[in-house]
Amino acid sequence: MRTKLTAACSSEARVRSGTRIACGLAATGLMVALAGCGNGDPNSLGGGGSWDPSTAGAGNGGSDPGSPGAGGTPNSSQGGNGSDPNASSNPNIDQRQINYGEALRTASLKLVGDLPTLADVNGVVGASDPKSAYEAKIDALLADPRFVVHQIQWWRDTLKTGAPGMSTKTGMPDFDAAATFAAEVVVNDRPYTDLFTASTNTCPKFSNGAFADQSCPGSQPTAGLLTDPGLMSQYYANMAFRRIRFIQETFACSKFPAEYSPTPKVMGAGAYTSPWDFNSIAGGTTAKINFQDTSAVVCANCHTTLNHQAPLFGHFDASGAYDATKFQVQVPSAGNPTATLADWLPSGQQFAWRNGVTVADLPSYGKAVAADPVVAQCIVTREWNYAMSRGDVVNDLATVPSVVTDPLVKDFTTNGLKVKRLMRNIFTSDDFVKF
Amino acid sequence: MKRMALTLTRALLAAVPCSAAGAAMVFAVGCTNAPNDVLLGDMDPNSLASGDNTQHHFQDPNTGDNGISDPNSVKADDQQVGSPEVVARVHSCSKVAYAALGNILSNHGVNLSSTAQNSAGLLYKGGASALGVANYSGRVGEMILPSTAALSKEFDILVAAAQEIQGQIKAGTYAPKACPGTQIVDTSGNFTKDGLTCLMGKPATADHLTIANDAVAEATGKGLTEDQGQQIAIAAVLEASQTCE
Repeated sequence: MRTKLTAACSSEARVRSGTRIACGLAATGLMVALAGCGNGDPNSLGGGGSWDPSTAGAGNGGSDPGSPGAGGTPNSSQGGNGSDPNASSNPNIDQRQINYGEALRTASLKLVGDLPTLADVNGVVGASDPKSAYEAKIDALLADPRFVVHQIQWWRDTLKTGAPGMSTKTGMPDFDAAATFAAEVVVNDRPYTDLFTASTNTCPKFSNGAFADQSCPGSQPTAGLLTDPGLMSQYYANMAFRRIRFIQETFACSKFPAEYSPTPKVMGAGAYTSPWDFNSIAGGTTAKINFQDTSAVVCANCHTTLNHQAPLFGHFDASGAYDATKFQVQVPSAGNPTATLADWLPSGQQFAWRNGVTVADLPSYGKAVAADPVVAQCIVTREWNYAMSRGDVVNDLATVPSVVTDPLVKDFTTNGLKVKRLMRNIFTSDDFVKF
Repeated sequence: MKRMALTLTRALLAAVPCSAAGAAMVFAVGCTNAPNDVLLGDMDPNSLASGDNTQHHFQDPNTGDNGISDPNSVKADDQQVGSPEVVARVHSCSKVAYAALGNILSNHGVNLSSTAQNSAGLLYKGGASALGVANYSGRVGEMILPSTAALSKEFDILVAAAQEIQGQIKAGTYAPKACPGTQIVDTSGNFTKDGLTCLMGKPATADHLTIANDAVAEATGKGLTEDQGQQIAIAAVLEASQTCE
């Protein structure tokens, strides 16, 4: 059953082709421990419908070296190179009108979870300069105490973790700490990359309208929220693959495979598309899991990336407790043995975020994540989709062409990676205020 | 907009004899809530892997299974709007977040603690699942896109809320927190621009006023009371502004 909303809808019914049936309690999202191996990825972050290996990731697999040039400013809807030449002649674009009243309502719901007051509405639409009045209201919303609470909730929904209103069970970590930390980074105008690189105070508490800095319990090295015990616990699964998939889909905005070779090879039942050496992961008849299997699907397309990361996170147990001396995840083979490094990688292999981006430990892993341009583009895409009421970039295929995000990414990366500034740019953009 | 609101108004008129909960109820697809993170134990005989490699990669994203968007449906939907760039640049239909809906209702004086049958408060509290609240233990955030079930539940809630709001207006106790001193209906029984703006959270137009007042006239012309007509008008305005219908 689908409700169609056509392009003829008024401002009340936002233009969108369909209202998708979604099951609130169904298992949506990042819920499988192992990523699926497929050939080709139509869901590259660049969007646009056709698969472009050059947009699939960083490292030798390649982030987007051929990104369209930036066009316009963050507040401009004009695209640069690569802009759809038909976009300007589409009635859904042409017939939009600036409507600051409608924009204020949407922004208020998105930023503080409530409608604007009558005084705010009349203050914008009755102003001699509605644009400036509207922008001032956006600034006020971003400074509103309700924005802080809303941010924590936004991050719960983005991380798909949390236990709001519930006390932590004995022996279990705080399930809300990661969302709280991420919100603190945003609210306090810290660089977005602190989510992956902060070395202290990554488990803050929030009460009575204020954050209280606090480091996470445990002996783990700290890499922002990536090493958060609550997060590790909530994404616990065999061989730590679920944790890697969570990081990939949440912060790189695409499912696995994450890397593509410019020269794929026909292999077994499909094509080997990864830039890694095929033998760089565990496999063969003696391996507990044969990641080099090609008889049905080419597992290595995904697992070359997965297996070079997962051991780093295999030291966290189901409660998120870290033990540097041993792995604490299991292998889904007979007897469910505890994993050893050889279950992921042959000897001599190094850990890596991407092919050619080796890392030594969790903090350097976090730095590699932070340095990947795809990660900056991902948060821009997520914030854009949130503002424009689009679905999830991974689960709902709500990709955003780089021609739309490039100006925002450029502003974001050249101005301190401040998410609040990014949100202001989006909520005051031409596209947002037009209906 | 006028045509849509009139359609809504007619739908509401048709629903008047029914309880609020009976209005336009649509059933959502059934969903299981099976655990998804248990990989140990018996191996799936249908595993994609072969031989001793028995890991089965079930429920990958973008398969259309179990609440995840079907890529073919997404493509078909998007093509109705335009190119990927066009699709990205226009607003989509937003589901009002569960907490935000509660804020809207309470700010208009709706009693969220009500336990009365078919009251907005009871429907709101009992409708959390249909409204797509998060299930963090299942790694599911709050629903972003509105489902048919969510829109239907919201419809029911707003119809019930309209009755409460109109009752407060009649009793002279209506005091919206976001719009102090605002009267939705003036002493002549006509809706006011500020009142409708307050209800919608955005500027009311002359069309909004016409639709609301016409709804009352149409209702009374069909034998309903003026109170019922006002309830229908308020429900139509709330529904049109807070959902994508």
